[in-house]
Amino acid sequence: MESIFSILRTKLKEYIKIEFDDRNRTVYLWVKSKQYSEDIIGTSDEVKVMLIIFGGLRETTSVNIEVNNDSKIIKIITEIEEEYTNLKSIMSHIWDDTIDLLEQVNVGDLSKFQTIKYEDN
Amino acid sequence: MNEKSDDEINPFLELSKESIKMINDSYERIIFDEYITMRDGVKIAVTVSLPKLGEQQIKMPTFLSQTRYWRAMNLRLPFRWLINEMPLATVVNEIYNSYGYATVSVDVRGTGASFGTRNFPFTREEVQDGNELLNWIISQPWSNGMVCSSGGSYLGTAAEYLTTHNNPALKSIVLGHCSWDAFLDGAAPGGCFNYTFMQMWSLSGKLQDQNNPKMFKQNLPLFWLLIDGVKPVNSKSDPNLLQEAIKEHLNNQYVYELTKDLNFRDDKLPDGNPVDYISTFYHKQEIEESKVPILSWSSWLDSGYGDVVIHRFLNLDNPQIGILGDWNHGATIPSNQFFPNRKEVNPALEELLKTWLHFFHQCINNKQPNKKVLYYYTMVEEKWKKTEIWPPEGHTYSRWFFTDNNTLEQVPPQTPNGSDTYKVDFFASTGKNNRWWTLMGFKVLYGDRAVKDKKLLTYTSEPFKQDVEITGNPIISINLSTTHQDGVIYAYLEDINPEGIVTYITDGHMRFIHRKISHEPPLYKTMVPYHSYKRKDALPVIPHKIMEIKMGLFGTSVVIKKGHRIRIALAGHDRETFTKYPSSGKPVITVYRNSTNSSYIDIPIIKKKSHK
Repeated sequence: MESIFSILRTKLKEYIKIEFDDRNRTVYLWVKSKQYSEDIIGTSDEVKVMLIIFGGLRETTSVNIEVNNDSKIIKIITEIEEEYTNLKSIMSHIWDDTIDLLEQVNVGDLSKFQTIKYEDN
Repeated sequence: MNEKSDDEINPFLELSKESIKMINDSYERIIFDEYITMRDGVKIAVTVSLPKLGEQQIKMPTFLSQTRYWRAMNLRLPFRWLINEMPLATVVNEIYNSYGYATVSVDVRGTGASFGTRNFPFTREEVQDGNELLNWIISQPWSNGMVCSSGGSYLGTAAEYLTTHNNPALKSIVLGHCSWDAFLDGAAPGGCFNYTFMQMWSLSGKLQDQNNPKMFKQNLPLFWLLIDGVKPVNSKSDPNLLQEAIKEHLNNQYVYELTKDLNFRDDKLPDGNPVDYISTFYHKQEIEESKVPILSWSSWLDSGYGDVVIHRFLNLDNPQIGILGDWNHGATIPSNQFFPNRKEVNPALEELLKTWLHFFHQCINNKQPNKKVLYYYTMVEEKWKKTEIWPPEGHTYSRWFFTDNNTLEQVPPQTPNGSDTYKVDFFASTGKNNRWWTLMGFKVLYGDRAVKDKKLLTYTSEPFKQDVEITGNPIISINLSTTHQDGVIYAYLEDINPEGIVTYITDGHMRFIHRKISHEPPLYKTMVPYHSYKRKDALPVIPHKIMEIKMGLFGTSVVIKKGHRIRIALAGHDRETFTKYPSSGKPVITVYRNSTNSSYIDIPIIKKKSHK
């Protein structure tokens, strides 16, 4: 499992590009991999769950998520400057945080896991 | 029969010794999902994983697994952007595909992404689907017409049911950690309702059937981080199919509700069939008629599923190999109680999978076993043994009587009045890492039972003067009376080392109303006294009247080292696992241990051949 995490960390950084548009308070995720089995890269709800679980985004944060399945580009737009600053901070290290969390949980350290504020409906 | 010394026996090495050629390194794996429409229009979801070499489509044998726990997982973002199946599934499918075998995973009707509903597990419809799926597989352009059905737990039972169709395409089955007698192996061992497991299993099933992964958050957090539900089929062409399937599952029924008032083996299921209908022993004749070779494996420590391997060995004529180890349910975590700190399970998953693959390979190449062989692991000695008969050669019983001062002795009591009273402690518990909780995948860890034994009535032997191998089912006979009209006796067999550490070996229990030893032909051959658990055989419990409770403990294989002692610990409840009997009151049990009413345990030991 450890080696899979290491591969995932590298692949995330290589294939999922993150760009910031500060002027429009927008984060772009560009999915460049070809591995996913369906043409749909995800729904806006799934993207938000990802941000909550792996980035620690508050569920109440107001974000508008647009998924373009043709261009494989996801736009995450916030209206409030403070929330954009927080989102930008999350996105600047989200892939490392994601894999760090998997690695922690894999060795039985649930300290960070238990802070996740997301429940399945 | 052993041609090899014990040191050389290892089932996983012996069964995998033949070299099987892997396919070309440059093969590509094709994974696709599909709905197969059954005879009644119900759509069943399948995931197929195939090796492909360039444009050439080779015909290959197939491993079929039918599950109620999601055939494939929908990965959460961002993982779905990078990989198209769970890492564990990748390991399994890659190994099989790399040797030129296809895999087909199925959500049984009423579960996962499949349509339909289910009233209980292994309904007639579900079992019939298995045969249709077999026929679908062999009609595919990539199939060579040969199928092995394999899997652990639910998947294992589904594989065993597949033999009942006598479909010539089914060449072998590999069954891990699954039931034989649904009533005694899991739902109501000893006639006591296993409410914790039945409740947890029902709840987790209900959540899974509604595509909700929340039960993983507490039990399998890594799993929860990676997946958010079952993998849909055709999600782009019709994104609502999964939601439609889930809607049909709302009509499912779950075993806890159906069985919580279960008291007798002959109580009925909703369709009017007896509970035994969902036990594979009930279909013994069809299984034998198929002549399908069986590889059956489990653990001494797993619920009643250790004895299942022995029951198959004793009762089915099919060529078969049985393996009994020292793991948790599913063989994912080491669970040898004498080495509680072991981290690595042996064998590793890859080694297990290669063993199953070799078995199938032999079966499709006319090298299937033509007899029955059982491998079993002897704990403390830490060696595999191999036998073609059960019980093994040298098997005999050593009788130990309950005697004065809470001792166990091999001499029968001489005094006419000996007895001990025990006020049932309803807080007594084996905890949440016992042989029943492991059915949810947990480690088996009873720990040092010295403190827990203080709540119980115990009888302890003198230190052994030499090493003694215990292999088989101990049989305990207790003369007792109680102050109430219902009750249970739990008996734990333990090892005590010279430092005083008390280690669980095995246990058994029986609700008093089921104590009658039936003289009818048993439902199947077993190594313990036969109790029918039928309503007609229930005996009333008359307060203060002496009754004999004679019952088997679960099978084990362990060496008691020289200087160690054995202990029998008796309880009246196991709080975190079983229903309480009686439901109210504070019963006091009197155990008789005198010349008129003795109590004793027959311990199955293996006498070594003397070397001349």
